[in-house]
Parts: sequence; C-alpha cells; structure tokens
Amino acid sequence: MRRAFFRKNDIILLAALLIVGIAASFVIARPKKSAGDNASVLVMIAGREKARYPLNEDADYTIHADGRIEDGLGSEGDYNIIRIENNKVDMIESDCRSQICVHHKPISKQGETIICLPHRVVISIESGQGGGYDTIAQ
Amino acid sequence: MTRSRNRISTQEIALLALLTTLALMFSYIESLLPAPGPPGVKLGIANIVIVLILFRMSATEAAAVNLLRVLLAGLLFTGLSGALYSAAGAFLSLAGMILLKKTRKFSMVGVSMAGGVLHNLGQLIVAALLVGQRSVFAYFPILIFSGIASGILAGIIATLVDMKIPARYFKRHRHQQI
Ligand SMILES: [Zn+2]
Repeated sequence: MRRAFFRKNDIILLAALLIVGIAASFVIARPKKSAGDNASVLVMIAGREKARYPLNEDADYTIHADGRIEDGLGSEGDYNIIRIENNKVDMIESDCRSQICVHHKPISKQGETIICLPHRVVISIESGQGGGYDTIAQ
Repeated sequence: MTRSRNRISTQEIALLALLTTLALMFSYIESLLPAPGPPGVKLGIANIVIVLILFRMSATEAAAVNLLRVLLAGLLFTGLSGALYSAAGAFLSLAGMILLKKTRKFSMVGVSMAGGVLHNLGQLIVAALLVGQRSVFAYFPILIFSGIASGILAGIIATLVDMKIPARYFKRHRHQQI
C-alpha cells in the first residue's frame, strides 16, 4: 500500500506558514533608521536596564550575567564582552553555550539588538533624541 | 467484552515505556548536538515518536509520553531552563497537533509540520519572557522556516515507520477482544 506524504490540506497549511514566515522576514528586515549623533548603547540584563554608554566613545565592557559590569576585558563567571568602536557595538566574546551572540554582526542602527539568551543579556542601540543621559554626561 | 477496551493492558504499558525511552533517546541526541542557530532551532526528532503515538494510539498517550520525556530530559540532561524551553515548546506543539489531527484533514506530515512550527514558537515565547524583551521576536521568521523543515522531516520519517510497523503492535489486543 502506497501512501502520499502530503495531502491537499497539508500543502495549503505549508503555503500559509511560508507566507507568514516571508511576511515576518520583510517586517524584520525593513531598513532601520540611522541612530544619529547622540546614540547610546543600552545594556539590559534579565529585562532590567543596567547601563548606557555613548556609541561614539570607543571602549570595551565586560557584562556579567549576575548584573556586574566592569570596564575592559574580564573573563570569570558567565560573561559577555562588548566592544564599542567606530560608532558600532559588537559582542566580541562570551562563555555562553550557543555563541550566537558572538557570531552576530556589529550593530549601529536604531533599535538593533544583540541578544545572549543563556545569559539573558540584551545590547541595543537607542537614538540620541530624547535620551537624557548623554546630554547630562556632556 | 467491550469494557476491557478502556483498561490499559500490560502490553500497552510496555509499549508506552518503550516509546518514552525512544523519545528520550532522541531528546538526548539533540542535547548533544550543538545548537545549529538561534534558540529554538532544533531537529525535533523526538516528535517522530509523538506523531506516531498520536496517530496510532491516542492524544492521551501522546501527551503522557511527551510529559515524561520533557520531565526526564530536564532531570537528566537539559537542566531547569532547558526543561522550561522544551516544556513550552512540547505542549504548545502537542496541543496544536491534537487539534489538527482531530479535523482528520491533515496527514502525519501536515500535523508534524504544524507541531514543528508551534514547538519553536513556544520556545520563542519563553525566551522573550526570560530576557524580558520583545526583540527576541527577530528570530520569528527563521524559527518558522526551521519549524516547517524539521516538522516535515519528522513527519516523513513517522509516515515511513508507520508503513513498516504492523498495525497489531499499536492496536489494543484486538485479537483478544474477538
Ligand atoms: Zn551568548
């Protein structure tokens, strides 16, 4: 007895899922606005804002999953190291299992994020307008 | 004796134990493989077993095996956060597959495909909750596509296995009921 793998309804379901996937890709890939001159790098751990750094000042920071952040390169505990350079942020090192965050390309546009799920760390770019911290720091 | 049909037989318990072990083995193999992409992208080979049980036995039995698989995998190799991810994925996926199966309009491949997508969606929701950010949903498209691919693969394997296994291994003692 031969049996077809796909029935007509399976194909309809497949088409519907593909359409949802493609539509979502377009929404996510839409061109991002440039972040402007006073853009900042927002560091969030487990949903809490932990730090905010200017995007135009080159520096390295080591973010620990327990909430501590130190300047420069650290390595103990669950950590993520970010490098701010040439108005871009990159996750250059982490001891997380998946290493997806490390492979992510550097970000520079408003709303872009690098996420390290195992450590619950989110790095994102916020545009300068209305961002109070920068103006106060200057 | 129609009443005996509702009682679970020793043979059936043995079969379910065997299938749970098989599903657990598949979960173990997956936990050894490096994560091929963003969170939630998994081969989903354990779903082969779940789909087979769903079609050959019943939703209750599929749910029981799935629950045991997630619990045991959490205890043995994925840990608490891993178990949280797989539980969310496993139960969203199972609920969807049971509903689709009930319509009788979809084959094993169609049901498994929906299961694969829902499995990834469940994991994504847990990820968004854990990280506390909606930006995790940037992974949404890739998780849909990988869910479709892994679901179809699992569904095709389940169909092939289903054609090879004699029906009597899954049936509840039909020969004794006569
Ligand atoms: Zn990471």
